[in-house]
Amino acid sequence: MKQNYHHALRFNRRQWLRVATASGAVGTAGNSWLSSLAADTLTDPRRKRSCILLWMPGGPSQTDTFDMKPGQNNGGPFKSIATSVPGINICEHLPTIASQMDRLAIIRSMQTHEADHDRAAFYLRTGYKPQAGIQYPSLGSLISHQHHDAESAMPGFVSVASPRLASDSSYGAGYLGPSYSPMLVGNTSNLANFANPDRFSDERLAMPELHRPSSVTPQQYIERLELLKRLQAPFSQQHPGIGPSAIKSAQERALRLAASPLTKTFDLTGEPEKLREEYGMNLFGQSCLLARRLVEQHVPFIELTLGGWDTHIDNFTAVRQLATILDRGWGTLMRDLEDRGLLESTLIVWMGEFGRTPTINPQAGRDHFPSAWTTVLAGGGIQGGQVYGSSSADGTEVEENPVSVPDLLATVCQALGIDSTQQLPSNVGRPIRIVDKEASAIKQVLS
Amino acid sequence: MMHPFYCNCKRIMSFFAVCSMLTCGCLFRYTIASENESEERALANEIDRQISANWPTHHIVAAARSSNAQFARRAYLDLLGRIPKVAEIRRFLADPLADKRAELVDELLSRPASVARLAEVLRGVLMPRTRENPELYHLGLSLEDWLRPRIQEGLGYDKIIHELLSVPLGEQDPQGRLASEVVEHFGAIAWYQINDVKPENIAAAASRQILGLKLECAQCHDHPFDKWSQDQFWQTAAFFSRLNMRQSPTMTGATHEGKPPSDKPVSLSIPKTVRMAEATFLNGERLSETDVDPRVALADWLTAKDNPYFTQVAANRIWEQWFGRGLVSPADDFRPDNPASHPDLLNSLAKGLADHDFDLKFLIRSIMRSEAYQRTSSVSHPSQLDPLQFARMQERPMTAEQLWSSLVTATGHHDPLPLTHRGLAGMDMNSQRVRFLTSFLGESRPELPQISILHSLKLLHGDFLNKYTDGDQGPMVVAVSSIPFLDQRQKVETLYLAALARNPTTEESSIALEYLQGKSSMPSDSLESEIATAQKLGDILWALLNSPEFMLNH
Repeated sequence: MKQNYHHALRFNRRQWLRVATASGAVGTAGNSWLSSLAADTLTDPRRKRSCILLWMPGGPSQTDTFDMKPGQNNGGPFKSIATSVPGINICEHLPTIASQMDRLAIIRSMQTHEADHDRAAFYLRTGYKPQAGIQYPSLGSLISHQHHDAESAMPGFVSVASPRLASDSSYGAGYLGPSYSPMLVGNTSNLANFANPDRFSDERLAMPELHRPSSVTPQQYIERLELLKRLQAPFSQQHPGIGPSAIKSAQERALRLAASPLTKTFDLTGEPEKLREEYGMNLFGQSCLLARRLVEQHVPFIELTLGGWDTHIDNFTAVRQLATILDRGWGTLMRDLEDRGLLESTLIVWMGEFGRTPTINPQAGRDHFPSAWTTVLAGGGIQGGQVYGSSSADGTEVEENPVSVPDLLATVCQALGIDSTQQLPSNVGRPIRIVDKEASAIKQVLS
Repeated sequence: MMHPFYCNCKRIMSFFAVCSMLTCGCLFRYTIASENESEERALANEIDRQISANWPTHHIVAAARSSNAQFARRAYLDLLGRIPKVAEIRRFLADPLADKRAELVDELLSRPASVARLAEVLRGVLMPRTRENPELYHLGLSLEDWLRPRIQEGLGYDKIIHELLSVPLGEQDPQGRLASEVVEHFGAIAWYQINDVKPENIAAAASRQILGLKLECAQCHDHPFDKWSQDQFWQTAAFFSRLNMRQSPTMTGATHEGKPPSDKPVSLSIPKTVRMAEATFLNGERLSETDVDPRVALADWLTAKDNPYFTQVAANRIWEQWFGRGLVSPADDFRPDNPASHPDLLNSLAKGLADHDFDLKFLIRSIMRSEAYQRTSSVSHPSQLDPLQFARMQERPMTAEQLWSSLVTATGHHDPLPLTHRGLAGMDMNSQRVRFLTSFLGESRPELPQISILHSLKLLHGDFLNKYTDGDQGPMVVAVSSIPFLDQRQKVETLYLAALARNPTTEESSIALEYLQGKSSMPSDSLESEIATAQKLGDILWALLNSPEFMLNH
């Protein structure tokens, strides 16, 4: 920790300017750099890959999902089943995933040391531990900052049904500024959303304000927007600060999105009933379907949430229920993407903030466990059909190839064609890398 | 409501006041004046002296004084949490009294709504997560419930914090019901609950919010930037070691406080080590008496007048709220390499606060008397863009509560009083107010507003604004369009007063009138024409309410 601080002091102004200009952060807010990236992406399909984060708050139990310990005392009641890849077995409640194991790289050796929900969630979501005053952006904001096409009406970062419970500050754009905030769909304004993951109705994902209100005629709509533009001009001129321009820019983006035919993306009612049922008529399942539609529109980063994994009590009932929902949604998503030829250009990341104890507590639950747990990468950029790293026979520690949070995120960046060592200007006067410099991407899981 | 007779009365009174001043040298006032006026003026002068001290070296050109309209709108938002009503702003603008700004401050501070507003401000300081996370909002309402009577009776900030830290948490009966004395402190308990009733969380919260120290960086290892050690973090947490959270996964889990063992020191084990941390104050003094409630001992130490962190942090918080940026920024991060932009000023403010028994209103009044507070936000010289110089008033985003209350005021919507008085149980989740508030919560640090696309869409396309600016349904619009003795220009003026608390410029008037008259081919006295005009008036109000000028406190 102290080393980083002294290093920052040594990074003098001249060096900073050089780095900042190279990354386009100084001057025209990165326009020149971004347009050359956009040009590159047209020719290199790999760099325009979308990323879908399947965020599992609470911390899923690895022993009951992807790192089964059959025969161990604390292995639990679930059976381990064979998958489409001989030698790799996972939980019986993930059959659809099991049949697509050739698309997955399971990392069984996560070793992260943070057992507190807030701190761990912050760490996994930003790649950094919380630190005084530094507004670290979430992974979604970082990736959309790198990949978003500024000309597109669609947002660069969409977060579906996010509960924003733990560690709220890791859900935002931090020092990247308001234009990289996620667009939140179907979430906090409807508080019942994640209390009942099973019950679903279209209004839970609906965005009624995307459309001109029905009581306003198109003529009136256009006229009053024009009036708004004319009337607010003088104030903006005399108030060139951040506040007024943030409001204006949000309004412009909002109106551009609302005017675009792409708003139909958020309307699931046109999808075939049969397909919707395969995804699962629950919030998570339908979020997966929405994610596919967003990938079709080249949205760079989509975050889906399935919460409820904090199973200190009655672990097995909860995990069985959640795993079933997860399996159908995620499994159908991968199949659907593949059918449309989109899987190669979609990276899927499955993770929570930590795993759970191999030992079972007196309430038939498992507690927080960051010492040896599991994350999964799948889709484009990933060499599927493998397990990387391992935990000991009793699951209490990592046996081979420990993986840290920065390692994982560096791997994600590389799969997306992003240089994770790149430095961005932060809110504390010194540039900060996208991923901590101690990270080393896991070459073995990258294709 | 001010009666015209009263206004005339005021003029006569002022005349007599001047006469009596000449004869007996005392200043006669008839509103609830502050007793400390001369000290407020002195502190205000000190503020201005310190703020402008560096300007010549930095070639700073100060912005002009705000107009009366700008000042009034700012004062209403800061003291009552809403923009002024049309009648209120008209009255203020028409008042010829020279010292009317100071008087307005006094008047607003005597209104009950100012108590609610100050409670909201303190709640934002003590529970910052309630500004971002709707799931926790009800805990914020509980705390405000608890704060309000204490603010109302003039309890000093030090005593409020002392009570919060030392509030009895009691034991529960076997059915999990809280003891009766605990119910009385229900709101304060919310502060413990939002921190999961864990000693380390509470210690971190207390340090950040009350002492401005981000001690929690030292939770797992010595602090990376400051001098605090891991041991010190846990020694502070040890003061809260007797709290227990009953094993309950929900936020509303009950609290329980154990009886102190008679001879053992108050201590906590440091996780992942074999060390025990004994309750020790941050200056190194160990908690000596074991028969004293450790939380009371900490509260005593923390809120002592000569505790420099406490007084400076309190003063800085008020400055941050009123100016959009603390003298120390971020305001919860007092550290050697994050010094105050004006250290002497911070000391003066802290001293003023301490000398007046931590009466926050004394500080607020002093601030609002200063030229620094009264400057306009319009930029007339590029040097004014440096926020650290306070050469102009920086625009500040409104809180969700201010935005709602202002929308309600401007549209004339009748907002039934929120059921906050029953604390936790009393929040009506389906009320328009709560739905609006919870959907507008987001990161809102004063100096870095995060405006999301969704917030914009809610206002541009949302039902509320649409309905309440409708020509048929919006109360303000209907009222303005049906007043017979106002011509169109005056109607436009009324809408500007309602939305932006000022009169329109000539150009704005023309634009609005042009919009009103439009390309209509209907005879001007027909019913259709009247309806169309009402709708257009609604459009004008709609446009004003979607403008940055409305959405910001400037």
